[in-house]
Amino acid sequence: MFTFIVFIIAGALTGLITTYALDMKTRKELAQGTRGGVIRAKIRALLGPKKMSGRRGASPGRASHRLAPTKEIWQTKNKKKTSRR
Amino acid sequence: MADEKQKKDEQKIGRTRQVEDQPVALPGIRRFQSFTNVEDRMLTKNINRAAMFGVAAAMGVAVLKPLFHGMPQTTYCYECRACYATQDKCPGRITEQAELTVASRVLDYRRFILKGGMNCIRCGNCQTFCAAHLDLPKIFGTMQKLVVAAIEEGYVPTGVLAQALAEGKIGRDYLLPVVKYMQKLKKETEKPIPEPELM
Amino acid sequence: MEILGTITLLIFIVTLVATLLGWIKMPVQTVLIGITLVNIVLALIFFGLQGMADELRLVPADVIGRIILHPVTALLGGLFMGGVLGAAGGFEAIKAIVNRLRKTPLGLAGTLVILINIPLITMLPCGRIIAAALLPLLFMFGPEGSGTLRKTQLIVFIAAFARNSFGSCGPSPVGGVAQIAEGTLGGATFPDAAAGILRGPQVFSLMIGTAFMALFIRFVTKRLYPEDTVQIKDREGGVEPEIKVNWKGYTSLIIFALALLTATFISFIPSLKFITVQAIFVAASILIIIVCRVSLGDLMTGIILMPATAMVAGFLAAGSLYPTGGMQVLQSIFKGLAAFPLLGVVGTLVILVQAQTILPLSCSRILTAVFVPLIYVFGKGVGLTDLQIGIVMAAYIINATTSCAPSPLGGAGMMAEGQLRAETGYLKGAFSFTSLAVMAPLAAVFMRFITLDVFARNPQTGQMMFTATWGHLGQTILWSLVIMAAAYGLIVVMSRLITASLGRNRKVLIASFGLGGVLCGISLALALRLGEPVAGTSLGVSLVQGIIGGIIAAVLIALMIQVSFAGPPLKENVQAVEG
Repeated sequence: MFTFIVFIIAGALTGLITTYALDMKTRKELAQGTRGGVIRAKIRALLGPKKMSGRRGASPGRASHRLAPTKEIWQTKNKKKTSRR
Repeated sequence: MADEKQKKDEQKIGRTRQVEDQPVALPGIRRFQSFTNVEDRMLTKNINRAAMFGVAAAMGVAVLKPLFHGMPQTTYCYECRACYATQDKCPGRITEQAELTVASRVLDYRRFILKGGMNCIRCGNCQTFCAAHLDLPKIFGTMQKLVVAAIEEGYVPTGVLAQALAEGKIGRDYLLPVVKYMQKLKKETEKPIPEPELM
Repeated sequence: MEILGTITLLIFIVTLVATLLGWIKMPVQTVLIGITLVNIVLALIFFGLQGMADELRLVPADVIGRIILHPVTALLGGLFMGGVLGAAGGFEAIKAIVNRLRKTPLGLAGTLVILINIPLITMLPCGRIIAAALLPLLFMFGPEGSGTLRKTQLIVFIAAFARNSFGSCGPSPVGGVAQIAEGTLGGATFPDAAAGILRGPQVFSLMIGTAFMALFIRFVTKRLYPEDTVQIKDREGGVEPEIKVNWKGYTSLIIFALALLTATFISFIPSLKFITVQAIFVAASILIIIVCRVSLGDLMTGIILMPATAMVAGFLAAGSLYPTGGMQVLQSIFKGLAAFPLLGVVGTLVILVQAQTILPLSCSRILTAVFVPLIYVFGKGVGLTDLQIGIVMAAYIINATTSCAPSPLGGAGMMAEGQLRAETGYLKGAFSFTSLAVMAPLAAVFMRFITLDVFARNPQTGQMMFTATWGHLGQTILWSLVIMAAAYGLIVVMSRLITASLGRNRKVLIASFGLGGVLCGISLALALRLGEPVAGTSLGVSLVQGIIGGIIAAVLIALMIQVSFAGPPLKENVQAVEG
């Protein structure tokens, strides 16, 4: 949640700064820039909240303990295409 | 004479990098760039052409080499090194899996051996972390086979093998052929095996 | 080996600096290939003399193996896409859509802010993909295109977009640069690090860094060239030209948008993870060619060889340091720095954090692969806790991932400068300053107060080691505001002190960057204090060490920046052309 809040605040602030830097200084333009910044921050925060939180994804023991086909590798002798692509 | 030289210099845009009659495309932005009409940057055109050929050749080798050695997947490696996250889940105690993938791409035997590639047992634990979902066990397995062939052909420096043996970088499956090769070499050439250079 | 390494490293750095300062007047590719050849020849001689002839055979493979194919193909993929989009009229379609968006509550300002941040939203594994595709479009918003933006606005717009692009490769979940550090950090304290421990700090600091890039370029450009009088109102009768878009334009745009969405979300679909982003873009380009009947010639016109060839040459030159031991020497230099009492651990860490901006190469991956393990081992060696190493890594990685932008060796920033028709190095100062004084400190602050709450676990109990509170949120905001205010002040002062004299500009630049370094040093020294001293030093000592380290790093960065963009001849040019 804190990540989300910080992102929204940073988004609004940077939207405002960018608009100012773009030489758009009327109140309306600054408000529009801020709105743009907030939308951008929301999208960014929503695109990866689960990943961002880090509680999912790669966790210990997630790796599949399968053994690769050793025999197959030794028998291919470069002739067989090793790629799946 | 001096005037002529000055005139010549003036004609050359590159001599002075601020030419007043050059148009300005945007504020602060001059129309000419370092690689277009700043002429004196070009020492000789042929050197530049040779350099470009070198770049193209190196790229060609980097792309084509893995194709010819049955490891085309290696060209898709992002080199993001997300696989480093395998950490202690790698039974072969390999810490830098991406290095092995890149070494496989260009057949860099030294890098592959010294980064512990010959310790890989192809368990596939690192594959879970690969951002490009490469079949790492297959790549490493193929490379191991090529390394063994290269050792038998005498292509791998003995110093590298000695260092790998000293650091325990040769897996159980490959110990025998490596040691046999080293002994054979010692008998044949009476060449002293260099002392391992521990990192 | 150390002697050879020292020689090759010296050749690399001296030649690099000489090229940057214009003493060597040759294309960068030629210089880099020259460095590579000289280093390889030296290696051959050295190995020959040492009786290590059998080592020679592996040198070429080692050097060529240092070419990182991914950013090269990403760039070419992006250029392909840009070429076909331009030919099919996709850019016109985007312009028409932007024109419509101007009438919505979002307005032009909001639309531009979102456009600038598209790279951060999509987070592709190389910023060059989206930049190569969109830079030509963004340029067309200027006076030479639709005239939506004035000249200065256009420069600011493109510069900010470039900053956003050439840092977006860091937080990418599809093979982003930060994954090197995330992979290394993973362990008992950060078991979930690979899920994106550094993503939050990077996104946060990149958002703010983009805004400060815009500010920097605005102030400097406005100060140097105040005669930017060509306004949209000055156009014929104040009427904007009507944008005509045919079906091909919209179709190509839809295909592009779909490709972008696929590339963005593909990391969330495990079964499709094996499809590379480049492949998606190339496939979309081919689809556009077929559907919109674009010729192959149009496609080829989009390809710019310069950045691609310079990048490969950069990889080769840096690669030539590996077999010759140059990289080991570089590592030893940084390890040795901590022995100086004035620098100490914190000062060395600050320099390490800034290392890649000091020595910006064409792709940050070259040095990141070397420095991440170095920082980790160095941190452990001097007694930093895992949490402290995490904070250093957050600051380092944003600085590293953004370092391809200021690189003169085929760096990504050259694309933006080329698009602006700027001389190489025009944007470099701003790129470097934002990395130095804004982004690295902010990433450390975000990591310290917010991200540790999510990732840090006690290895014994499995419980979270750090819980963020509203107080921490307040501290994050406060710290960020202080850093931003200080950086703003520095930018304003720097732009005000710029004069026609290059000598004075150099002094101004070094002083301002030095203060930026102080800012970075203080922030890092304070962020590293997690209730325990950093490597056994008191707060005062840490601060002094951080400040000294920051100043050294900043001065080294400033010395590599060209200041030739200022001066009366240019000003006269502007007047001559516009007046």
